[in-house]
Amino acid sequence: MKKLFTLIELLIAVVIVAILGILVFRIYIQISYLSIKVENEKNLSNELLFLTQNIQNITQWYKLNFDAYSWTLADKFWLSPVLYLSGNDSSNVSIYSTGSCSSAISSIKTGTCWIQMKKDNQIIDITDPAKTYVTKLYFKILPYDTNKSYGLTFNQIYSESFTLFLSLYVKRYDPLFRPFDVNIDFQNTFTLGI
Amino acid sequence: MIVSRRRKSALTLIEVLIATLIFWIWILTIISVISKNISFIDQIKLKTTASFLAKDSLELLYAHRNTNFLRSAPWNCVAINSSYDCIDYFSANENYRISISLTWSYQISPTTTNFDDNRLYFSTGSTKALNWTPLIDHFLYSYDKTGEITYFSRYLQFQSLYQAPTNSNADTNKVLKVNSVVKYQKWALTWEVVLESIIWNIK
Repeated sequence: MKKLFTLIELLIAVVIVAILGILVFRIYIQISYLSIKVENEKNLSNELLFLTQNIQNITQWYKLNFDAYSWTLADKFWLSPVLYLSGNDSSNVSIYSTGSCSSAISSIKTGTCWIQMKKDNQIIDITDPAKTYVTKLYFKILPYDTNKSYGLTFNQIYSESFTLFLSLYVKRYDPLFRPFDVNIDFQNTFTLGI
Repeated sequence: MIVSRRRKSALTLIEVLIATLIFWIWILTIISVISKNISFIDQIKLKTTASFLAKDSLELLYAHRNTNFLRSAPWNCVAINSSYDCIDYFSANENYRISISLTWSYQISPTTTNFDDNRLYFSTGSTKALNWTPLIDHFLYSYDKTGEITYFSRYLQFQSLYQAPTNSNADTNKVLKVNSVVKYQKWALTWEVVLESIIWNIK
């Protein structure tokens, strides 16, 4: 007599196959999210590279415009939200963040905050508001001598330089989907010619 | 009365063991594939940050060299005293660490290649007194241990490039090769990024 499967055996087999199927599907979804995250990380790195390259180019031709800064900057650890530069041809450049800027995570999803450069009367976007959101932009200005007496102490940098502090989020950030939580805290010093 | 006694065939122990083994091999393969992907993504972020930290260190070194010119100190002077006399010089086969800090403009000092000796910390909450909006609660990588610990360690490694002729008193530290080394450590694994450059007397 031919041996057949019982109903209970068949049910158990179906349940096991279903569980394995669900596991495989969840893994597939996770891998899909990871590939999106890789793409976002890559976009973020490209945006940073573009930004730093632009700033590096400008610093070759401009000097820090100390006159444009408030004299109280020393009380704020020489940190300014705007970078002011001036050229030999009396042209001025400023770099700042603009838009609905906030450090609140909720505004990353709905708002836009990007970095602009103003050269005389021309305004140029140097980060893409559709791709990234700026939550923090500060420049540490070195040296900043409040009395213009250059009475700097021996442990201070005399040559003109500034350090950029930037926090950048990928615009597709969504708190419900962790894979989109792609951001970087960035710090880089730029040295101007002497 | 006739009673039908059909013998039920059961699985043997060896069959159960083989099935269990195949199942766990499959599960472990899937888990290892996912964990490799996760660590790969983490690597991209850490490596990007490490590369920029290495560049930051080199730029600070150039600012230090330029500062030496402006205050009439030797170009390769590491430290001066309050009378502006040079008390230490960069030399080949030595390591230094350089960083700006919140209150001081910058600090430079000899160091070892040990990870913890050069570990970077994130300043936290130091600017809340400024009442800025948004508040800066995490910024500035420095060696200040009061901050939040990071995965990164950073130092500059100097090597000699200039070969002085035999019986010459020429300064072999005229041109120095500099490696900006940033190491990062996570899950008991250590990776590193090295940016190479040279520094010399530009005047």
